[in-house]
Amino acid sequence: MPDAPQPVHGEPLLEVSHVTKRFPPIRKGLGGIRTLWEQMRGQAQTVSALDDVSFEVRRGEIFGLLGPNGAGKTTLCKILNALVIPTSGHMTVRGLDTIKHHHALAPDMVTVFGGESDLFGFFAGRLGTQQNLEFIGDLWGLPREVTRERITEALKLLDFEDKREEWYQKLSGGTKQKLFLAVPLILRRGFTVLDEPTIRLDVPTRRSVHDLIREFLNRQHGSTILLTTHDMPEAERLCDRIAVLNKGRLALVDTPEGLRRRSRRGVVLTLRLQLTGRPGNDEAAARAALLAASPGADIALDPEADRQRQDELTTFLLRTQARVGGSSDQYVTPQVIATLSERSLRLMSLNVAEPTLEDAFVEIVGGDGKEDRA
Amino acid sequence: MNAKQTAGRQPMRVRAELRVLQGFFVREMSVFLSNRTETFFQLAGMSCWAVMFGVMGTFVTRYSRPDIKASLQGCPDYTSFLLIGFLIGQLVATARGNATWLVRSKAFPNLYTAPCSLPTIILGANMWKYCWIFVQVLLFMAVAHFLFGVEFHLNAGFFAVLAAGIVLMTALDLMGAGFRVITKAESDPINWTIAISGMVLSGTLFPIQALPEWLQPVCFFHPQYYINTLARRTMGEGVGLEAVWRELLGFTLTSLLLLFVGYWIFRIGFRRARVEGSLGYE
Repeated sequence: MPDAPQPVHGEPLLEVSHVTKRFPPIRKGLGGIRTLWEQMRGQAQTVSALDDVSFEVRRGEIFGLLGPNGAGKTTLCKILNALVIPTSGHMTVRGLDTIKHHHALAPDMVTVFGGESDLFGFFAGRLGTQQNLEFIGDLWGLPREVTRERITEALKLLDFEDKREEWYQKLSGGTKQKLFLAVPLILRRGFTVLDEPTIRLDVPTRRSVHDLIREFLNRQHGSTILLTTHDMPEAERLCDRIAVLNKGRLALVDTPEGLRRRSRRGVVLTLRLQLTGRPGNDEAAARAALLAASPGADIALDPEADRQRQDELTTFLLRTQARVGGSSDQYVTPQVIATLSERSLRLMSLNVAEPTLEDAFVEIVGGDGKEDRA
Repeated sequence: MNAKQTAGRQPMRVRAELRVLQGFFVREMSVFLSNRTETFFQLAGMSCWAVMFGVMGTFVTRYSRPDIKASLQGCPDYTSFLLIGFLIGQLVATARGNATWLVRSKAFPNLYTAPCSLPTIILGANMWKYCWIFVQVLLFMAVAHFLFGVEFHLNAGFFAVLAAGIVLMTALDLMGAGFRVITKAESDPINWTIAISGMVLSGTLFPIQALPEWLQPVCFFHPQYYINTLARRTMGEGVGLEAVWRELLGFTLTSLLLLFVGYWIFRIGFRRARVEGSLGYE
């Protein structure tokens, strides 16, 4: 289990314990005889989707599963819904195994397979939005009047009331996605699984959906949310904690802030200095000052420096080794300013760029993720 | 959860499952009726079948040998024999492919995430189909009765035969579904054999006595032969349950046993598809 971040909510709701999923090889030959032969000779290749994944989701939190394509996010959601049986390990929700007790858990759960909505077509093409959603209410046993009230509310919240009578097959890709998102808004279950819920949505709609997930589902209705995504701003905006999956392995679990802090990129300070003497002397003095302020920092001259020199300006990129979370802003930056001032180097501008979640994510999934396992 | 709580939840669960069935029914009916052209053609098609088989039956009756009546399984003439054979064939064939169609459909994985049982999903998704085939069959009977004077006896015996026939076909379909959910094939060996041989060996279109003697025993292995025989006796000849109960009991018990086996095979296939992660794939 990766090093645990600070607890943010209540007791564990979902516990994923050493889940491994290897899909059997594709059957080759008549009735799979060739595959059987290859298996006997130990040559058949299984596809590893998940490899010893363990984490827990606490009641009331929004937990993100972040990973590149093929990381195993959707497989995990399918195991959660008993659509796929794991090779080993198990998942429990409220202490009940998700495969064995699927029917006991299903009433309090809802899953939106947004990324594979074409594969998992809930809705009938020749039915309108209202009728399709009423059927969902029937499946989960909602009284008809309640379903209708909630449909009206959901259509208003998702801003597609005008499509109430429109057939599903005539809706645009984005509106179809909204229809999928209307399902958790209508059902309001204790545990909501959103598999890439905003994949086909435009930016403004995505933002309003983020608000709905956070404010409406999570805060107002207390739904615990498992969100899979590879959209960094979405993960950063919504998630209390994030698990990074890479090639089926759990790289780490942390808060978005904690993840950013793990980036080796550090903080980049871009400094524009006014040259006062000969360029070579000024640059050497500046380098010495910057090194004194931030020992061990990586200092580079901006490639544009030659052109800037004509304006008697030069730009340095200073990449500090210090990690974010206060250290750069609180210590490195004031120290740089003070040292430059002491050495009579005139600072014209200073820009501080902290590493983003995307930087941390790319670093984690760029390798094999092993080194980051705590 | 203790036994008392479980017992208390039982009626609630039954009510919830009935609600799901109702939801499925309304949905499937709305989808079907949204295509009015298709609705019209299906009704018109059924009427045309009744007319065509009626005309064919009338001609064959007129020119057939006098001793044909002995092989008509209780029907007064060949027209009744043919029309009842076609009718019962349509009714029980409705059960064919239901489970397979559903578990291979793209809707299935999402439906499975809902809090209702697998049999409810399978039944619910096909309930409208049964109701619609009954509507079509009523039209077929009306055409056959008014144009060709065919008498249909809708007695308890016939409905019992029909129910047992549907159970048997469902059992075979579940076996096929278990095979097809893994292989993703369009056909399975059992239902393929039954469908292909049905025209000749089931006694639907002509008495099996018309076949060469060496081929006639093969017909006794065709499940639809028994359904046709019992349906013609009850619906065509008009005999009640008391006359057919022995054969019907054997047939029903066999059907129920096969339903159990079929569901077991289906569960194996379904589990295998979940291990392979191929639910919802074509």
